[in-house]
Amino acid sequence: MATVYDDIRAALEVKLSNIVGIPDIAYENVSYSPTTGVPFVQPKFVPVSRRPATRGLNPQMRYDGVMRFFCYTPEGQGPAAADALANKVIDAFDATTDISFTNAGGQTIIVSVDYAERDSAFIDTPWYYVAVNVGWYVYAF
Amino acid sequence: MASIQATMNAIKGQIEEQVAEELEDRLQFVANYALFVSPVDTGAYIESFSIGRAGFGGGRSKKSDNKPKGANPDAIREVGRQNLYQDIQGMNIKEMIASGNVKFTLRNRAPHARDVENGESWQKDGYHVFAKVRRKFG
Repeated sequence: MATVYDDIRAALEVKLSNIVGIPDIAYENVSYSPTTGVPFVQPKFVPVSRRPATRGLNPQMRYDGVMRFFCYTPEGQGPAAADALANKVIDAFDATTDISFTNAGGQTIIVSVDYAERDSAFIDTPWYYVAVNVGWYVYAF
Repeated sequence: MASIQATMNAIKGQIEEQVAEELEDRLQFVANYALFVSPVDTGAYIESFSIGRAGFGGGRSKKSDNKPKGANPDAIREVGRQNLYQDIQGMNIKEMIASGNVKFTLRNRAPHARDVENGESWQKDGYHVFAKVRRKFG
């Protein structure tokens, strides 16, 4: 079912929120006003494909996508804070990590991580940010 | 011995030819997917895609400044497709296979490419074009 997307997002967001020392999280479509000078992380859920994993009727599906984590730190204070934040996220979502999530209905999914990698840093005044891309996949009905 | 060598060379040539064709198809698939997930406003972003050997220099770069908005998406994507197919045609994939260096780079040098990818500021979402391409084909 397409509602698996809700669980995938939740699994990834819960995993993020459980990282020790993670700063504020600016969740998608939730009002958030960052305080200048205070780091935050902004997750972006990017589903890419949903394809049958088996032949026949009502096949199991393979879901693929990327969870992008934008790690914002203050501009003009060097790269160390953003790098450290990105490293924390990469470590938590490193390749081969399996993330288990049980929804309110008691159904459990496993979100598997293919890769976690970062991009170069950019300025977005008054922020300096690094994007961490986590490639994930799930087999589910 | 000479005839065996000639046969082996012929088989090798046929295999390389077939692999080159498959690779060309695959690259065209990558190109089409990148164009499919790219937004169209002025068309400058789509016209700024290039594909080439890994680490190739330069590439197309179109500014969106002063270009009319609301370009026809199908027409713009066709321009992008022709550009990328032309790049693929010009790469001499067979020679790359023979040299053992078969790596490619898809690049977009539009000045606003980063904004398209990540969003114009932390408040505006991007289109994650390269993140999607990487996820699908990386």
